[in-house]
Amino acid sequence: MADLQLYNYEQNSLYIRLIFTNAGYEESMDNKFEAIYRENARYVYNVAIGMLRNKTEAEDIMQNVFIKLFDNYSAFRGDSTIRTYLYRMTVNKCLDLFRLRKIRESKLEKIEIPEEKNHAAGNELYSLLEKLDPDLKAPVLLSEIGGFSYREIGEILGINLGTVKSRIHRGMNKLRDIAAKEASI
Amino acid sequence: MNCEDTRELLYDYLKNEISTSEISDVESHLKRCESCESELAHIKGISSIIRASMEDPHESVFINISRSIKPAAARISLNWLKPVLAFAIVMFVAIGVYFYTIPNKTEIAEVPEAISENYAVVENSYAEPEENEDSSYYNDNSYVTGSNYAGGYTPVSYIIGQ
Repeated sequence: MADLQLYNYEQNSLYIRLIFTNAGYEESMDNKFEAIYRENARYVYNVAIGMLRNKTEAEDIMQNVFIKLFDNYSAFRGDSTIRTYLYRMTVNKCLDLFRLRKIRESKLEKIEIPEEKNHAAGNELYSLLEKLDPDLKAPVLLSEIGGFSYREIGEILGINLGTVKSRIHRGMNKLRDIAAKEASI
Repeated sequence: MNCEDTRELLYDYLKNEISTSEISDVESHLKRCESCESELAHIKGISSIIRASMEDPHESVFINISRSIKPAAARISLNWLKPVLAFAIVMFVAIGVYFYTIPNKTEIAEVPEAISENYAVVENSYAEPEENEDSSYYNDNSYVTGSNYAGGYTPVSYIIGQ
């Protein structure tokens, strides 16, 4: 059923919206989306920060991921697929950004790039994760922050169970070594 | 189970990713091995550092997301118009082309006065000449079409010499 809405958006512009669904659809969609955001944002954000060590980039990635989720919302069946999608997108976007950084660094070679580190000084997590390879970082963060099982991590990262296990072991061993070194200094 | 085997399974043990028999093996080893027990404490410590470092995203992120998706929702709701508009444009162009290219069926070429005085204009003379007629006159006659002849619709005219 057609429903013509006029509303003031941001108190400045007047939008005309012609919606061919029932009037309550959009509101319920907004509520559902907000519930998904509230439930997952903190974890998605912290996985992104853990990967990138940069709050601004982590926020950008999170924003893109949730907007994409909203665009493709109708394709999902159940909360588990939404969670998997959110983390997969986040990790993939972080890995893309790592690749871009590498390309940029290789092009600029010895020119030092001032990396924005706008995280809290002395945050132990950042200093622990700083030297960890992104391939090892992702499964560790998904396990620790996302609370995913090894099987779910395999689905998110597109790798098999054995690879998940070995990457987590290598990642945790390295983190333990880094932590031990820092404790001894 | 020795220390090396146990340490391999410590993180899996914490995450409950090992079988029940492996759990009992690890636990029995931990009871009698202080070194592995402290290794487990290290791993727990790293886990707690990661979890304790978690932060909440700034509320502005959600506001930005909401602003981005609301105009998009308005655009999506009008998507049904696209095929209708495309069809209307195609029809408009097709009708325009049809009326522009088709000639006026009833228009007949005007015969200049000088010709019409000396020649008789016979239209639709598709019929074969009668056998007893002298057909030689066809050889000298001109075949004339209208000056604005544009295809098969204009009647063919023969100008027969007198």
